[in-house]
Amino acid sequence: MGKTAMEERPPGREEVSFQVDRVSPGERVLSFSGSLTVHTVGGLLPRLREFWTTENPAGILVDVSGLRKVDTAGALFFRELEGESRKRSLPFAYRGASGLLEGILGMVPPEPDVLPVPPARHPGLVEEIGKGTVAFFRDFVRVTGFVGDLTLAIGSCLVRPGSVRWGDVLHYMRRAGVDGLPIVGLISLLLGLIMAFMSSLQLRQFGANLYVASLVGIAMVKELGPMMTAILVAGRSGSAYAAEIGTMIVHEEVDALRTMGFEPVRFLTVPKVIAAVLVVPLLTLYADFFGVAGGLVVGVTGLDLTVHTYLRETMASIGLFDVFSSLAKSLVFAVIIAGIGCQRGFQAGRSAEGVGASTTSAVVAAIFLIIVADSAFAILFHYIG
Amino acid sequence: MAEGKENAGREPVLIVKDVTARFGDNVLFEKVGFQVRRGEIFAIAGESGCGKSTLLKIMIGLLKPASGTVWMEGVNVTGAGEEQMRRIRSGMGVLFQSGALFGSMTLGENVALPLREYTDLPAPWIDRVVRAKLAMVNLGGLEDRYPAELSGGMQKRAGLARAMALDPGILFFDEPFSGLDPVTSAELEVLIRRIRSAVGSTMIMVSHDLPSLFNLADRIILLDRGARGILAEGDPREMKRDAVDGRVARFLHRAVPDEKPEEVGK
Repeated sequence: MGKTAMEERPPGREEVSFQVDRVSPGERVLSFSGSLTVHTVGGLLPRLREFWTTENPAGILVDVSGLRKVDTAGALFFRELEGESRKRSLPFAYRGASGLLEGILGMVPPEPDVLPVPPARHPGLVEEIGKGTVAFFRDFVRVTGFVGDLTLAIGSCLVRPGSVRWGDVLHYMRRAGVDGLPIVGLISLLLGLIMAFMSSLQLRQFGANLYVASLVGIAMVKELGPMMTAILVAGRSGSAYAAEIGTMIVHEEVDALRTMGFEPVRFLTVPKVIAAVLVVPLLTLYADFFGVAGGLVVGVTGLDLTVHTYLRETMASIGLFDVFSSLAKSLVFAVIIAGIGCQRGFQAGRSAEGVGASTTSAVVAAIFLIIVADSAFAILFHYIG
Repeated sequence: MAEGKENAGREPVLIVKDVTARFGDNVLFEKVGFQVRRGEIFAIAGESGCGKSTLLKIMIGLLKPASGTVWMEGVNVTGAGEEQMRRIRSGMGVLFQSGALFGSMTLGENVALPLREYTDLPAPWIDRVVRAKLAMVNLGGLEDRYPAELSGGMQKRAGLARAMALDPGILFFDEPFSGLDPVTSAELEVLIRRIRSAVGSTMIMVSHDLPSLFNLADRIILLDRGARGILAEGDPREMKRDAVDGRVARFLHRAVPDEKPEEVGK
């Protein structure tokens, strides 16, 4: 009777020993002792493969009386052994199985229901373009529907101003406006400083220091003031609107509003839009002021201009039309920021991931639309002005 | 459940007829029909994913069914216009699973919301009603607290106060006992029973909390994912005692499918 002993010493204290006894010309007894666990099974697998290639058994008897511990991986090892025996039509039996082994074997089905996984299908370019187009048009339809709802809601609020939740309007004015003053002021001041400094490097060569004032003034009032303010408000408040409404959807608060008969668009969006429309133009004026102040600092300290000269040049270069057109732009930007923020919030879905995606989308879409609107205004004002 | 027996002959306030719900190609349930009589506590039970909450949302008009109709107080909810829906909604209250209180408002403001929308009560009267409603759910004096300052059980009770702000004829509950400890669940049960006897509202709840169903419900329907519809309907205590269908017995006895039939029912 031949005897082959194989010892496995995996890392850690757990170890298993595996021994094959040839009790008759065909029958093999596989004896296991120690711990057959997730830490020791890996080392046994090559031995098992070797056993199947070198031996040609007529029957398998598995002696497990020496096993102290068997976990799921160990049970799967035995199931594998059973499966291979069944495939070769060999009689298979256990000897010395304890309640512990039977328990864990009971948890691991003999033939795991492994469904054939269909190979992952990679959509082609045409399909991707098609899907993207459909998604774009769906989004367009949703946004159009929302604009319609919002227009109706604002119209009904104009007819009945008492139905507007003015307390909420004040709350959002504080959040979007007052709380945004420091960052809008700081960014505009720095913008004015940078513009004045960079342009002065060039203009000084031609003795045109004085034009720094008009350059900063025109750039801030006509373009950068409204746009930077709108981008900052989109980042601060547009994202907050989307996250707030998205979270309300997750917490069923929007459903609760509907069941109480409130139209969510009117209830949640109108105060935010009104607040933004009131606050963003004021913030824009504030940003213009700080931008000019930034240029003034450079003009006075670096270009030997007096405060009076700098301000006189600035005022001469900016007309009333410029200020009003800047306010008109910021008004439209305000509607875009609040509208897109709320619309993305309403389409957030019912998961945390959806809320995150809607927040990102609110900022990206708002900035994109702000720039598109700004381009349209540039053309419009060119012809009007 | 003496009250339930008394109510047995009363007219239906809610009729669900041949309602089918599907998401894409996936049919959740089809041709579901039942009636809820005035004043009874009616529960929709069933395993997770069988469509209980979807059915509730169809009943309260938040979702449109693929086919079928829902009649509430004689009005077709599934085909109602905006003005009709407004009338229906003023006569019903909904307690959502999480309470769904508005986080930016105090408890008082939450409860006052439907009163401001649907009544012309002067402000001091609204405050009085709000205080009374919060006292009814044992939250008296907490009008100025925000929902985030309350425990889950208190939020549910505040949600209940808001749902019954207008003393609606029909109250809907979506999983009212989920996430509550046994004592808080029992307190909520007592509260629901007290409100039913005080206000006389019809109560329709979606729940799979068996102890509470047996304690509260006059009648239940059991939805089943496999059957794509109603498996059984009746008094839950009688259903538990007389269940013939294995699936009904397993659900009401909380038995797992592997258990032998003789173990079910012990």
